[in-house]
Amino acid sequence: MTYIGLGHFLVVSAGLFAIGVYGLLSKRNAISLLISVEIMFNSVSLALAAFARFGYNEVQPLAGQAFALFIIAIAAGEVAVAIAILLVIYRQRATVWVDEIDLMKW
Amino acid sequence: MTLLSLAAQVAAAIPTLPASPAPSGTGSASSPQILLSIIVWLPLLGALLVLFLPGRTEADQGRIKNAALVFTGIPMAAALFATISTFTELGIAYSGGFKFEENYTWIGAFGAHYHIGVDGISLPLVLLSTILFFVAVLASLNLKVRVKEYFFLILVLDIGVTGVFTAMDLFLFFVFWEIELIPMFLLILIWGGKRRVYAAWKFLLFTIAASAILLLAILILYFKAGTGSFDMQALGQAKLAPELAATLFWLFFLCFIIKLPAFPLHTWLPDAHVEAPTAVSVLLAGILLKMGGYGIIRICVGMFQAQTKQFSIAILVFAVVGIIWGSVAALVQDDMKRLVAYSSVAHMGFVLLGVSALTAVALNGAVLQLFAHGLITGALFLLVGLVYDRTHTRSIREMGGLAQRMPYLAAAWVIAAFASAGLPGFAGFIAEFEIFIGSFGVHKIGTFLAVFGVVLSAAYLLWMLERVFFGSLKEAWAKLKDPGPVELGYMVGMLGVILLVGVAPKLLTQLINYGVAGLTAGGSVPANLGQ
Amino acid sequence: MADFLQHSFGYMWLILLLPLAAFLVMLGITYENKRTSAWIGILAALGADAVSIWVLVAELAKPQHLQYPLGLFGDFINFGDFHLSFGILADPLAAMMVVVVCSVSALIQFYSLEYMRGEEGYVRYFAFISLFTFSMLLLVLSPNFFQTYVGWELVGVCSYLLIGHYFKRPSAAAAAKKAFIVTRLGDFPFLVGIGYIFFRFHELDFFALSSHHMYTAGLVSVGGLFVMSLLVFSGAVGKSAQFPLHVWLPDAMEGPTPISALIHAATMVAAGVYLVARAYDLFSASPGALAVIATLGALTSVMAAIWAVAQDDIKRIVAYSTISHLGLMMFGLGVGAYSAGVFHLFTHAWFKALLFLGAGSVIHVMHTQDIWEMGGLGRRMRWTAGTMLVGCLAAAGIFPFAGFWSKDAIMSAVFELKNPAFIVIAILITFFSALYMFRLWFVVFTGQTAKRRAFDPKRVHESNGIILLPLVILAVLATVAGFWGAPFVKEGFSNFIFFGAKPEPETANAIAITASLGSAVLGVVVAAVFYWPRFQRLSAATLTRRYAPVYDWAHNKGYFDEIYEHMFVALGLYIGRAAQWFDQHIIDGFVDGLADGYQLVALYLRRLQSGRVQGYAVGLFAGVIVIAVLALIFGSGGNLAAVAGFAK
Repeated sequence: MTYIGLGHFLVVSAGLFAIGVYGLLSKRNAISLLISVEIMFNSVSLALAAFARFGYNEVQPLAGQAFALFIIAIAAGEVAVAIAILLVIYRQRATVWVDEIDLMKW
Repeated sequence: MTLLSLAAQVAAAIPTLPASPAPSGTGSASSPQILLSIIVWLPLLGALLVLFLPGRTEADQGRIKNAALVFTGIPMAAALFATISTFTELGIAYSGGFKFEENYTWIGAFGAHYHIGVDGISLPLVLLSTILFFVAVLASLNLKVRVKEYFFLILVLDIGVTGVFTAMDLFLFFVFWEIELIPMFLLILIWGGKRRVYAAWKFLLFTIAASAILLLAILILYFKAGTGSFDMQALGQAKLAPELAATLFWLFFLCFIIKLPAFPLHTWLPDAHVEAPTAVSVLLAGILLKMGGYGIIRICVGMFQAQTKQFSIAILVFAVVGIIWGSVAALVQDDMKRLVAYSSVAHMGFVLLGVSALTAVALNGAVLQLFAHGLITGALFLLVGLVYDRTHTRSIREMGGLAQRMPYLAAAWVIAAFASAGLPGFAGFIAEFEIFIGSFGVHKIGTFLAVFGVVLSAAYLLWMLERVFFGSLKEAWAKLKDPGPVELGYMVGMLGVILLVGVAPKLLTQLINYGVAGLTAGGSVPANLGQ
Repeated sequence: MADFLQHSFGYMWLILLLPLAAFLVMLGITYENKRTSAWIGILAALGADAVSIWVLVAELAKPQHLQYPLGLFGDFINFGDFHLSFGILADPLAAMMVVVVCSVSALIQFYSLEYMRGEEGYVRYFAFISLFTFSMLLLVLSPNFFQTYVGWELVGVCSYLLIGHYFKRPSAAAAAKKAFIVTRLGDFPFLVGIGYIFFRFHELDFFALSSHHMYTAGLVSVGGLFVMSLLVFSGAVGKSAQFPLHVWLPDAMEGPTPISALIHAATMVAAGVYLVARAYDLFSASPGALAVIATLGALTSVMAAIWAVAQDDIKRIVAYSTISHLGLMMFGLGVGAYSAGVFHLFTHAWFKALLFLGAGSVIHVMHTQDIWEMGGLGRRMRWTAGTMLVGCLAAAGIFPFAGFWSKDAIMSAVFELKNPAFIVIAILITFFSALYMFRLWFVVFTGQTAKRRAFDPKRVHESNGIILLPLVILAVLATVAGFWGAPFVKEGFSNFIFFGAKPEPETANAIAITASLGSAVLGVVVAAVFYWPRFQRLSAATLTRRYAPVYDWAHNKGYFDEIYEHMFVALGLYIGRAAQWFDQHIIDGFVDGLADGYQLVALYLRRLQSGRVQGYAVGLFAGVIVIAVLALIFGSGGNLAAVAGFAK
């Protein structure tokens, strides 16, 4: 039986992060972008929790987990706001494709 | 935990009472001095008050104007009190140095102090600026648009200007220097004439460049001097390598001649003046230009005397070119305001001439010239404004014979024009006479050329008077009326002060001389004339 | 008696105070009341005149150089070792000049009561005369160069204000401006000269400068003294309308005639001569400067005299005569005839004021200034004609009128120099003086009444008593004033006002007297031959046609106005426009170019801000990767594996 160490967690986390980045850069649908961002969040949460679990912070051993919980909470709120904005944009412009939305251009 | 430490830092930044004892103060130690702080900060109180007053109806606007009058009037009274009390103590309780000094630690981390005080050089300028702010408010009583914002900005401007003249700490000096910038920019931008946007941005561009240079110079000086404080007196005594001192001198000088302004950095001035409303022009020419002159005298002469002497010829070239250039350019202007603006360039050249000579008499003249020119040009701009209010044009070509309809205004114009042309009996003459007498021994040819500017100034002013006021009356102006009692009132007041200083210059010259003596005490300035 | 005379000096401040107070009272209190204001001015001048005559008598009894400080707070300016002070100087020269100024001022204000009646700006006129009188007295009584300069500028302003009295007339406004600017051209070197004097001697006080022989003490080189003298002298050139700054004085005749009499004949224009006399220590220390003064004076005098012959405007003739006489005074001072030059200043004041007031009397009645529109007035204006005749005789230098004695004194000095050029010029001056004066008199007062214009001769009448009284008084003075300096008078003018040691009693130079009197009489005869109908033998018109270029040259005053207009004024404006262009196109072009360039760069840079989220994200991640790689490389000293965490 192979011992599952920090390295394994980090590989998974990095993989998730890469998937998130790929999604963020390549998808045109705003919903997909949001999901990609969520995946990136989760990858970071995973990394933080892993670091905490393997004791990389001796002063405050639970800081990593705390951060992970924090991120989950914030991500929930952020998704709510983001989807609300998206809905409004969809009503206004009948599209959620980001390359058609460049309101913030110079 | 973090909150607490933050609070502690904030507390440290607030001036700590009681004061650390003033290093060179002559004032009594028993009672803390607050006179200067009143002069500097009372306008802030006024500005906040104006912000919170309602400003919709005419009655509300009247209240705002009254508030502005009060909050510029009290500083004027305080400055007058300071001047008179100093004058009565001359040679008795006061024998030079700074008065009304206040010195509190401000940002201890890098040695910035809230250190203000006045000496014979700055006190007349503080008096001048408080007078002109009061007059400027008087001259804007007819304002109708955005009254609240206007007076708010004027009052904020007041803080910056009086602060610059009183600051004895370079960091504080810079902060006040910057405070003045934005209100002036907005005043031109919002209440200006047709090309106000262009003029305002040009003003900002030039002066921001000056500020950047100033900041650079201050920082270099601070780090190289290694005194760990921004105190001007301490920095002035720092030993610097000659090359470094020369570089710093030129940085400071460059900054100040943009503000002064001197050729070839003067082109922002005519544009800014033409577009600015009357009262703002008065402040711009009357006080803001003086900040440049004051800076040169206080910092270039006061802290880099050897360099000033070393580059005397270069300063002279700036002076003479400015005088001649400003005068001949004024000769061909069609816009009255532009003409007066160019005359300011010429008159500020005289200040530079006094600085380049670096004799006590010439420096005395230069300081007095700052004071005199502030009042005289202020009066001239007010008069241009009064003409414009009635004719709605400033084009000299379009006018003619106005004296027939407006005898009092014409009389005031003639008096102000002669004051500006350096006629005996007016403050400007004393200043220019001192400058010429004091400079002749140092720069003979330069002084000769500069004095020629006096002829040119008579030429452009009298020619303008002839075309605007004399000759036959043009049809279009048949229904003009003389200005009312308020306008004539402040005109008489200003011309009265100009005349008073011209007839009894001793009211200021002795005081100024104490300042100049203090400035030149450590250096190699000859007591009287360069031989 | 001695006590009484001594007291006079204690009251000298009244001489200054009275006119100044009159000015202030008129402007501040009685501005609405014409009659009262005028009389305040007259009485103030009379009061000052009384004190000054008292002082003159005291000076005559015992000449002295006393100086009284005058100041608001002690010295005017006083700091360090720099002093500028005001004061009153009592010496023979000042005492003489003060009497002239006060007397002429009083007479002219009295005359103006009638002359200016019903004019606009009546009180303004009298107020400015009082201000002028004050300024002139400030100049005359000045003990130092500083006060002299103050008075100098102030009289210039009063001159400006009074020439421009009829400011609605464009020509008057232009003349006022021209007068001020042209005299200021002379003033600015004067100011520099004062700077030079102060720089060298640390002293501006006349008495201290002369009593310590500072000019000759070797503090300044010969060249320096020459430059110093010329700088001071150029002030006099401007004020006394000497070549090449003479162009303003004829134009200044745009002012009311009494003003021409007061300012542009008797007092202010004489200030230049007075300055040279006052600072004679300086000039006498530099023979080169004296030579320049003499040459310039002679040149001005003879040119103005020739031009005067070709003028048609009665006031301009008298104005050119003034320039000519001022030149003559400078000539006298320049050749070393100090007393004679100052004496001519004294006599000239009376007869020239008389001539102007007489001309004013004619103008007041005829409402024209063209002499060819007059004529035959002698029968209808007997008093005016008679007093004018006295003035003309005095100006022409005919025995025994005032001008004769002073002119003769100058001639004697010129003849003693034995410089043929100067002698010829002096004779020419005398000849032409007589010629233009009597041309004027014959054309205006003899022949057919009002020949060229449709005047009803019956409407031409004598002016009233208020105008005639000053004329008569001045005529008497123009007759007798000369005897003060006549060679046969023992304690005469030259024993009262002199330079250096008290001079020996002069013996009259017979050749000089003959030459000057002869040429003057010849001038009168020539005038009669051309212009007196009874004796007319030659036609002036034929002559002018034959020598048209010469006549045109003289009639157009040597074309100096045109030359100046096209050279200096145009040049100044041209340079001004060039400066303006440079400002707007080169400097502003650079500044605007800077701003435009910045904007241009921003125009392209802003395309980075595309508004597309994914574009930003690419940049973000690219940046992160770059930073991460850099951190890995530099943070681990190049050991990548150690950082990656797999090594454990």
